[in-house]
This record gives sequence, structure tokens and C-alpha cells, in this order.
Amino acid sequence: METKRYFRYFTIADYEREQKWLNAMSRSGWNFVRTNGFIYTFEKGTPGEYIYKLDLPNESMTDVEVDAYYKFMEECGIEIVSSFKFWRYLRKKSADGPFDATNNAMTQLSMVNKAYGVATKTLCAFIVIFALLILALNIALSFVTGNVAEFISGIIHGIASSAFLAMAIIMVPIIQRLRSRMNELIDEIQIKG
Amino acid sequence: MGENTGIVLTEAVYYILLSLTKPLHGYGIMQKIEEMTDGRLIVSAGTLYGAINTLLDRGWIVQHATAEDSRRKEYVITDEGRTVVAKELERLRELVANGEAIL
Repeated sequence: METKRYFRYFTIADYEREQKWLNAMSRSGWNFVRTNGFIYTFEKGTPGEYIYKLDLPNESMTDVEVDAYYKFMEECGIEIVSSFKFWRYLRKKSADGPFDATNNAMTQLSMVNKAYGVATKTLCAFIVIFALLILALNIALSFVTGNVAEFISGIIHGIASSAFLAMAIIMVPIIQRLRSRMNELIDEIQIKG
Repeated sequence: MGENTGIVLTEAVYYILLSLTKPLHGYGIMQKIEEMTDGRLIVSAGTLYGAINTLLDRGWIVQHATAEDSRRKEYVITDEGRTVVAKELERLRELVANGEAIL
């Protein structure tokens, strides 16, 4: 089977753009089959045969519930094509109709909310891991004294704080974008119900 | 239950309850709603899944005991569910009556 590979990166706040791209590829006859977050693999097929959608399971779901949720999707004629991290890539035959009513603000809000949950959790997990690492290093270094120990300590703290800063610079705008999208959708729901 | 008074149902929940006067499985509910609304309302599988669980919790629908093929769960409305839809219908009548009286 003829395949094509593309290198792309989408942040968690860009899933709508990612979804649009996968659908555009499908319309031109390239069906998405898998990704590792950077490399997207497509197989040649009939143009417009499938429509694609990105989905996240609910945060509060247990593994068993997640399985039941996607089994239900399959019963509804939806295929789980690929998964990467928390994301599931869904597709269905376009002949069977769309995934949902277009511009359904409530459905969109629940997706953005889930993405927001994942983004904030990622940032929190990172903060906790780094705090623990630095704590462990400081405890270890407290047993050694001298210039070498201070030098090593300095380097490690430098690296740790740079990584910390980089993470904050990347994650905070993503979280803010998701948050403002949520607010937009809430405003819309207040009018359209 | 007292907490059921004055509830405004979403369009999706209203139609899910209406479609379950006869037992149906998930995909059947989606198709039934599409049919009833002439394709205007399409409930996503994700929304439907969440709604079914909430409605089961509230006791407005129950899982229907299926004969043999239990791989696909079927659901059916309860008396309580019917009361809720009836109340909603009353509210919708009021909306229509007021709208028509004025416009």
C-alpha cells in the first residue's frame, strides 16, 4: 500500500487545527493511520471516504470505563484509528454522516475542557517531579562539601531552573489559549442554549 | 423526586428520552433522533455516551434486559423519565404559546 509520511507538531491547544489538517488530507485521498506525535503516516485511499476526529476520554474515567466508552463508539460505526498519549484518533465513513452537529458549542466546550485538564495536569506533574528532584539533589549534596560539590550543585540548579522556565514558557500560553476558548464557548452557550 | 421539578432538558436529552419509549441500543438512539428531526439534530457518540450514563444514574432510563445478544446494551425509559419528558413538554408548550401570542 502506498504511504506518505509528514513531519508535523501540534500542541494540545491546536487539536482543532490538527483535525482540520487530517480531514483535508482525507479529502485529497490520504487516510491518516498513525502518529507518534511528530510523524504522521497516511495511506492512499479514496478521496473523502473518511472523516476524522480527535477525542480525549474523560479525566474521571477509569481504564475499564475508557474501554467501555470506545467500545460504544465502535458500536456507533466509529473506528479508533490510532492513539497517541491521551488522544484517540477517530474516523468514520463520511457516507454515514458527520460525527455531530457542526458548531455544537456544548460538545466543543467539553473537548476544550478535557484538553485544558490534560494541559494543567501536565504542568502540575512537571512541577512536582522537578521539586522532588531538586529536593533529592540538595539532600544528597548536603553530605558533601567543598568547591566541587558547590560547582556541581550550581550546574544542576542552573539546568533545573532553565528547564522549569522553558516548561512554563511553553505550557502557560497553551493553558491560556484553552481557557480563552472555553470562555468564548461559554458566552456562545449563554445565547444559543 | 423533588429535584426533578423545573429542569430544563437539553435538546439531546429530550430526544434521547423520547426515542427510548421502545428499547434501543446506542447507535439505534442516534439513528432514531436523526430520523425524528430529519437530520437536523445529530448527537455525537461522545455526548450520547455521557448522557446515557447520567440518565441511568438519575433513574430516568434503565438497561433493558436483552434476550441473547447482550453485547449491545439496550436502554428503555422509566416512569420517572416519562414524567420528566412530560414536564418538559409542558414547558415547551408554554414557550410556543407565549411566542405565538406575541409574534
